[in-house]
Amino acid sequence: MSKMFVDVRRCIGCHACSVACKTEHSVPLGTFRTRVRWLPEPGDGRMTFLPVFAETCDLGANRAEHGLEPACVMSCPTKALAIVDDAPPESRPLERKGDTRDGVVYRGHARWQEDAMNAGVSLSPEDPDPIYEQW
Amino acid sequence: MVSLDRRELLTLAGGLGAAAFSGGLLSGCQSSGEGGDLPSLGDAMATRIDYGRAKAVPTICFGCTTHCGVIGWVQDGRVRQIEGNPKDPNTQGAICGKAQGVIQATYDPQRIVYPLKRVGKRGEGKWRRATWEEAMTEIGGKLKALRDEGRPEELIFHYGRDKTKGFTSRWTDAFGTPNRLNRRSICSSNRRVPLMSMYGREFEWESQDLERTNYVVNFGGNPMEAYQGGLFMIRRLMDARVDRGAKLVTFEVRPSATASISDEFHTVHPASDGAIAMAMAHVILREGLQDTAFWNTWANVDLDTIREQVKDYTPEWAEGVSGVPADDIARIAVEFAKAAPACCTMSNRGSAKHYNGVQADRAIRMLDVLVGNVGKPGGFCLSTLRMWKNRYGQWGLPVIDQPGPKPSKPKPWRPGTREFEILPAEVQERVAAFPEMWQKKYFGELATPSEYPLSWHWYNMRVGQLVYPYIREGRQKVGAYISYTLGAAFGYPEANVAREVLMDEELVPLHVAIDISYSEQAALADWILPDATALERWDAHSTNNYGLRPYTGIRQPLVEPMGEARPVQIILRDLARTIGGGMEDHFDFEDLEDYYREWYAEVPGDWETLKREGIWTDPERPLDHELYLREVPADELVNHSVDPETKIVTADKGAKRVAVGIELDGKIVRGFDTPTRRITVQEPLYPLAAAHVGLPLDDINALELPTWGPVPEHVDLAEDRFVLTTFKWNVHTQGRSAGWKYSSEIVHTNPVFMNPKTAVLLGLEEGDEVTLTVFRPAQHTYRAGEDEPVGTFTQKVRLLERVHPKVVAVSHHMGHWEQGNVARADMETPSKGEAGFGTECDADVTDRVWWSKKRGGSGGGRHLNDALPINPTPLVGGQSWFDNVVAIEKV
Repeated sequence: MSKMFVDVRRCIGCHACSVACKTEHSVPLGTFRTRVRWLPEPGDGRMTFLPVFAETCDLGANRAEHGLEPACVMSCPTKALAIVDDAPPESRPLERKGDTRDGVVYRGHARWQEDAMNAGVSLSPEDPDPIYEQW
Repeated sequence: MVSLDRRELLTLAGGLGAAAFSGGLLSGCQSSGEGGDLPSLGDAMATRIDYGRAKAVPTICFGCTTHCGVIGWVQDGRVRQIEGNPKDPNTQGAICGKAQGVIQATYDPQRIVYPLKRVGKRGEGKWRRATWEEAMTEIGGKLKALRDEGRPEELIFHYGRDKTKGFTSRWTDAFGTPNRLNRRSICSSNRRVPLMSMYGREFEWESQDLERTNYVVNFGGNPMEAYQGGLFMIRRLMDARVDRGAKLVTFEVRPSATASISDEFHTVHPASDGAIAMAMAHVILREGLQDTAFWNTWANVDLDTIREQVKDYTPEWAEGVSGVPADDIARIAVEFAKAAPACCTMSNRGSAKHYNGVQADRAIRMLDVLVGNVGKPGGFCLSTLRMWKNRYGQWGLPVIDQPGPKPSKPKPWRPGTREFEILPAEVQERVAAFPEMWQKKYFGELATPSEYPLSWHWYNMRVGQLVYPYIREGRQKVGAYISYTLGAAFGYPEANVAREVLMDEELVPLHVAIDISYSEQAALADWILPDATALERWDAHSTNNYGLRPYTGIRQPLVEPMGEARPVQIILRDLARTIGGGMEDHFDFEDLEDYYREWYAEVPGDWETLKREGIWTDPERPLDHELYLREVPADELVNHSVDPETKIVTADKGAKRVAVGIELDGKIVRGFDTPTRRITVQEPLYPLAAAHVGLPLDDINALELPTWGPVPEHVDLAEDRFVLTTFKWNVHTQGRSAGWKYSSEIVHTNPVFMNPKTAVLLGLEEGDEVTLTVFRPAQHTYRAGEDEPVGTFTQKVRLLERVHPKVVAVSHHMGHWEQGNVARADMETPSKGEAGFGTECDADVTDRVWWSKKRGGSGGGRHLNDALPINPTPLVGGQSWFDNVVAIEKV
């Protein structure tokens, strides 16, 4: 079965996927089907980036019918996302996944990022990225 | 209108997904009308894109100034999705999130799609819909009068975003005004001048060979989020890092996305980039790692002079200036030099937008010359910038140029001309003393400000932020002012000055705004003329290719303009016809497609193929490596001669005698397009310009050799003073994207980012509100040295490690008070310009701006730029955006 593969080392947090998905599915303001989370690395402070996918994500079924990649994959400027049949080496699902969907494998992410997801970091726009303040 | 509070709205959205919004549950257009064939962008399932019948059409994106080849999917007459065009050799098929913004802008229900005429007082926001005929007759009539009365220069055409590649200058030339103004100084003149000085006019932007590089040292560039041409670099940089193990080292004042993904990220003191570069040069020479042969062949100054110049700039000294450990600087210098020639520098606004920024970029660029990576595979390459006309490096390419007959250019304002004689006395005196090379390029104080001769020595970059003060001072009388896609009233430093001048009907008797949407600038116009978006128009496109091969692309309309919006070319054509007097002869076309077909006549292959592919390039052409070693073709060597001393080769070109190359090892090669045909490391223009404008010859900007010196107001910075830096977010493009709903949903406000240590020092906590009081620069610039602060900015504090402890960082996109609901984050206060809205409906815009303050959200941020000083760098005029000294006080 097809999986979403996320190469975290390549993600630059640009939100091309977050936005292309919204365009593709006319996702209303107030919700995301996919969204990149900006997470400052504890103790260092530099930003890390983790694309996450909601339960509502169907891996671009309407595009797959026509042999096209999902909008998120299509729009990723750094090729951090791919649809794969088998999980590539060293990839694994998020062990603690917050409100994100199954069937996504990641490579190059850190345990603390998973911890952050489990600690409540979610897809909801109500849950702001630490860097994109939203009081 | 159904109204839900924010939490209800989010719960609904999160719990039920898009389906909750189908069936017009929250529908509502601001204008009545037919509503378009897409009931609501929230109505996802009913309107899904059918790729079986949607049509894919290539064009060029205009979401920012990078201009990527894209493909739009058109279904039922609407553009539904944007993809990258894999044929674009510059993007390699990539796009970014801003591409989607073009769709959002096109179908924004609060977009202006009918001409508007002001009915209240200027700035009052009262408008009525007008016909194009009325607009053309009234505006054209007033412009005609200016021209007929022999004062065409009183027409000011000021643009913020013009990528018509010569069309608007054709129009201003035909009208007879040199006052076609831009925003180059706001953006990039400080980084262009060092490049043009060193490498020649053609190479005002570099194209590092990132596909082959092994080591990149980045001084404050942020291509992952901003950076003109950033998208061309992103994929190549990440491929280089991840697939090939290339190293990216970044010096930055805050954890930008680029700094964060870098292999090494050093937080530096603002304006210390040049110090680090000088110290790296010191180490490279101390360790003998320079490429002596390359230097001796190509630099215009001997190596011993540079050795002497960098002698005191030790890594230990640079550590004191920048905060980067001396050992790291030395190590990076050695790693960089040892990676040569597959290594390169990179820099942009972080290094250049400072009082010492021109010098900083000169020092950075000198590193590439020292290690001899210029033009080499993996090195600091210079790709043919564009394919228009005959330019350096583009021999053997089709000439792409707009159709004739082209108008003649306005004549320079020399002593004795009418225009010159009405200039203020001190300006006349300064200009009369200029050397001939400048007198023949002088066109008054707006186009060629005499205090900033290096802003127009190579070409007219102008000093945009001084336009409004100069108008107020009477340096240029204004008869009519056209703002084209310009956001000066929001985005220029001391934007309040722009607004004050535009509000003054004595100073600006007629103000016409041509733009896509309502804005702070358009709000102060007498007329708003609706332009077509990137999805609705034609444009020619070409730029430097990081893939190192010249190419061109065509922007073509995927759909008809919404409402009665018209492409700017049609607006200007029709104005030219109304104005008449011969002007119309230069706009003799009916159909824009015919016009652009003629423009591209020389491009191989047929027009339909170009339209279908979107891009033309010659894949057989050798890459733009070492262009300076290419031999000059025989047909350029008419009656040529070689100077025995300099080896410069000159030849006849028509009636002129011009330099065409340089003799090297018995061959005549191109060299660089500079006066010496070599790389200008030592530049006599800086002291020359300084002498003419009265800048002390020991000022850092007046020095011939690359140097580092501090920003004057940063010297002995008091413990309670900090440096305010501004920045751009990845989903936004200056002040122009705040109306893009998906971008603003992600980023819609602008806190004050601060290091936790700084917060402790100031007794602040996360979320505290602070007021920044911004002071004026210290010397040699606009209103320098005045004690009175420029202004204040109040916002909440956000703590972030890795922001330099002496820096506070605020993004500048936010805080719109005009534009539509999304930009203002306010659905309750009606948008102005409603008379110009079309029939689009989008419940997102009317009901779902969940960050609206009135719905319990944070609001749309606060406007910063009134508090930032107008601060042009001496001689060049680039805005020193990142020098602002501030005091911080808890509210």
